[in-house]
Amino acid sequence: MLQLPCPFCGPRSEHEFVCTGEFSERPTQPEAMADKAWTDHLYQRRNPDAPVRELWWHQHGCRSWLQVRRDPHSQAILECQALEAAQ
Amino acid sequence: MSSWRLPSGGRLIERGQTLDFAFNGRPLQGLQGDTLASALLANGQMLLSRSFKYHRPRGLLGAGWEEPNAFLGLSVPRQEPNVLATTEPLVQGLHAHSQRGWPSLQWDVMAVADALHRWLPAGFYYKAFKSPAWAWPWFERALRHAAGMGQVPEKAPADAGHERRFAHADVLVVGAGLSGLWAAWALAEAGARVVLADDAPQPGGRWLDRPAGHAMDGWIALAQQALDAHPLVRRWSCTQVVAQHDHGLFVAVDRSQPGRERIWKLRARHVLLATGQIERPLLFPDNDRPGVMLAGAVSSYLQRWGVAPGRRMVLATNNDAAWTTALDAHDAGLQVLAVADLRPQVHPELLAQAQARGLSAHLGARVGGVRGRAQLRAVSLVDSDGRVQWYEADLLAVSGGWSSALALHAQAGGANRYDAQLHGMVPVGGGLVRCIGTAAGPQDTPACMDSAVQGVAQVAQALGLRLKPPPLPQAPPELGGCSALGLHVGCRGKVFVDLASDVTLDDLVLAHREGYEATEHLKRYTALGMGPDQGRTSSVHGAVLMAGLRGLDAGALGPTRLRPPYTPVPFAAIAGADPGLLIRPMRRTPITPWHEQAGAVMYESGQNWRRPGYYPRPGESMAQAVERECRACREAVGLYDSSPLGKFEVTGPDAIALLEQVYTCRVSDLKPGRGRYAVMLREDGRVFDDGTVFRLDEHRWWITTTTGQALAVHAWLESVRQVHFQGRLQVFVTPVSEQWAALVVCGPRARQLLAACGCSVPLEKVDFPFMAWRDGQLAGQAVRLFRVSFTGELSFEIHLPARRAPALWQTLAQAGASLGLEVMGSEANHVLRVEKGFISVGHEVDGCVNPLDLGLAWAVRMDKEDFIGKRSLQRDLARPQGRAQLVGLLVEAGQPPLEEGAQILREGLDLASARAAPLASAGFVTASVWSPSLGRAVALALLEDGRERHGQNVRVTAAATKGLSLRSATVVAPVFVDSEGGRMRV
Repeated sequence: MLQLPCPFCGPRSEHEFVCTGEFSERPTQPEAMADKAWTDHLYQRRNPDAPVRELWWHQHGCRSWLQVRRDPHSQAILECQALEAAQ
Repeated sequence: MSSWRLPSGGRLIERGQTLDFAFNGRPLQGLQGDTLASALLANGQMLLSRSFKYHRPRGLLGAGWEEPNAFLGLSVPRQEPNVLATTEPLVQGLHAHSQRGWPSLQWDVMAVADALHRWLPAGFYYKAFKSPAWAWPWFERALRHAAGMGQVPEKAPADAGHERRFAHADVLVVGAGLSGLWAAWALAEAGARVVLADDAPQPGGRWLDRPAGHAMDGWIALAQQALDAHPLVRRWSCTQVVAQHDHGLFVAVDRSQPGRERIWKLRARHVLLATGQIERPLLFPDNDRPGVMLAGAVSSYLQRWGVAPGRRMVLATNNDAAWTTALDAHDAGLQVLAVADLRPQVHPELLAQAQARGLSAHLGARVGGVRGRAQLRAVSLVDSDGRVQWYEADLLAVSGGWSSALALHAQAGGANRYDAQLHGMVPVGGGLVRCIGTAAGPQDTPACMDSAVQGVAQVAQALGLRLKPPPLPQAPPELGGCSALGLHVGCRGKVFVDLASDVTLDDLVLAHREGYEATEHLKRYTALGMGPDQGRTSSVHGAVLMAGLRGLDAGALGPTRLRPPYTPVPFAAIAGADPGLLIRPMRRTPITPWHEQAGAVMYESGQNWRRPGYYPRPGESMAQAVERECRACREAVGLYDSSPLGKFEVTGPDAIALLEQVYTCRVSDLKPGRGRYAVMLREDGRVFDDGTVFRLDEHRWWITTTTGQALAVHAWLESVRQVHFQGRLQVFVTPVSEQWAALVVCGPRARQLLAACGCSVPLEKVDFPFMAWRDGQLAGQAVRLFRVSFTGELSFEIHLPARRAPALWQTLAQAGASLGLEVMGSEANHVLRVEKGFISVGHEVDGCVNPLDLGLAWAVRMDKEDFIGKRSLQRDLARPQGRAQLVGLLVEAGQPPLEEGAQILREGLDLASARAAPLASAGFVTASVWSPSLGRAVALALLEDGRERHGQNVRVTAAATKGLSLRSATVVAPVFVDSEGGRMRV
């Protein structure tokens, strides 16, 4: 059970979150993309052997969507920030 | 009958308090503080069980969790199989029995397996009993019967009240030996919140195995006092840390009351493992006889429980530490006949101490063999010249070396290595967890305390605390020499490597010969280390022996991977205080009690909801009840509880932007009071959910979703708001699924029913058209009315705060009696929507269809600038051939319905060739019901290019007594009742 340092709620157990996997930013102009490029965006993920950005939703807490960088070997959380641009 | 209770001594027992218990029906007595094992030994009961495969007589090898033999069954105070006698505390009236041995433990018919051992080597079941093939089920049954351990109780015990507790600490110290005690003390003095966990009833670790009054007892008492008085310390006894998970989460089991174990989930910022070491036995022929015991265990029984496991003892070892057992045993009154050490030379101090007691020491000597079956009778020692001497002993204390107890270290990802000096496994330093004390490798106290000092210093620095170290225990350096085992491969007789799984040296040789050379393969092929003892006394032997067979260094192969939990944890303890249905609470609407009272058959549906399936009258079958409910809806009026529906308020000036992005339809043209059927797609263009969107006023929107996706839609909307739009929109999304109840009145007489209850809203079509909503009063309650229809009939969805719903439901049910009202469940709903061809998430929407496939092109505005899924739909539109499309299927009138999930066979294939065809299915049946309106079976299906195939015949699979058969069906448009949709727009 990981502990994620939610920027709003503090360190909380993994139970409170939902992970949707590696974060792939939505392209700004989908219409301009060729079919193959669009399919890659939908389904291909790099899955490197290195810390990646993941999206987690704090379902049972503040309901923020957080981008998390996690080291897959040590499970250390290197970064945990809200996605909403700061007001 | 040679083991006996010493007249004095025993740290853990209370001599005044006698306890009665029974073993195999024989009444016996023990003392308060005994374990079941020590009490049995005190009564001279050496034979305790029969081994796993060969049914050899077995007794105790150890005194704690390393014990591989003494798994007994309990019937009182609780019914439980496979209870480890060495860790089960004795209680008054306890009844235990041996688990194998028929007709009795002494005379076991299955012992013939021992004589047949040449035909039953490791993995024999991979080779033998394979032919004739038809006989395998018989063999398998016989093998399972022979192999089992223990009996599962007939019925579940009454809930014993298991607890689950949570705790946080700065430091967890595992193990209350000298190092653990000192570390906990030092860190508490420095200001850290400390939890100290130890699985024994008293602290002291291995020092509990020395005679009372020795040098360390004073210090241990001092440390215990200081810890118990310290406000920052929690000292848990009888509590074993069984698992280490990420980010410092530990699971510990408090076994002070077996049968009522308490599970602790502890988050600690740092951990120090003072888990000690585990002893290994020696390897020689017939080394599994009752009476052969680990030297450390002999000391444990003597000192902790005041029990001598025998009267005439021989000690055989390869290391210094075990000599203490011989010396202490002599001091306790046993006759020590000989001390044999594999090493040709040992430290003169040891020889001097032995001599002072008149013990004869044999250096360079090994155990040749033993005599006795159910009880050890004699031991032979072979010296370096090959001379054999027999001793009439009833106890053989053996010690083949020590290894650190590294389970928690390994679970944390720590590495280990074979130490050539210690001839055992030690942790590789550094990393997330620190081992201190003997667990770190050193055997003598000053070195142990050094490692503790270092570990504490590192933790204190990490926590930013200043140390005020308490006094260290002053102990003289002990000797820690050890040698390799020097096993003679090829000696006659069975040399047992793993007692729990009956794995012998021959099995290892066999495994090596057959190519199972890695320790993980060795484990799985021979079952070495797979018993309930998890290979504690055998896995290091296995790794070293296999390395020897392969001609490698002793430490070249590590032991197998250790996984949590370290020791068995009862499922009841894991369930904790949430047994039965509490483990997964069902959700109910406020009207659920009414459904249950009305005799509804309740289903589990959606997200843990408990919903009525149908309401059978006495004597009615399900089909009859469903038909009655459907007819009422089509001909009179029906009432159903739609409260689990997902509901959201979307509020703000930018609500339109959010909704336009999320839905395929246009919402900006909806005026307050109007709504629309709306479909939500994923980015890949596949339908994710469907529902409705209504405008409450200029900046307030009301959306409904399916019950099953209510939570997913919440996550999705927030994701679009925060991730896609990066929070730049001025909009709030508020989930209110549970706050609002939704009661649906549907059928031609719906208006009459509402009017009969007193409705302030004008209900005629001209005032209240289809897909509009109104505010008003119904039966004196403030409600919102939505004209949406899931059944295809005139339908009003009544929304009101959930707590007020039961009263309104009652009013509607009563008022409807004279109008022919029937309450409808989910089965009737399903039939009605299939008749209308309305899609349902989970049936037609399977995650692979886009809205165009489902015939919902009218709900998709490709001319919108952007919406989620648009790009993928463009791709689909460019390649429309071969897509599965929604169609209806009709079978011959009078035929039973098709099966849901049945496959539609591709043209030109028959069933036999379908197996070889890469894609034999052209589609499948998504929903299939008996339609009361049509009086025949109807079905919906997804079929490739289905819209072009109306009128064609297809073949659909059906289950038959053996395999599948085919049925004929006609492809039609996916709507069977009121294709214009006029009835709901009335």
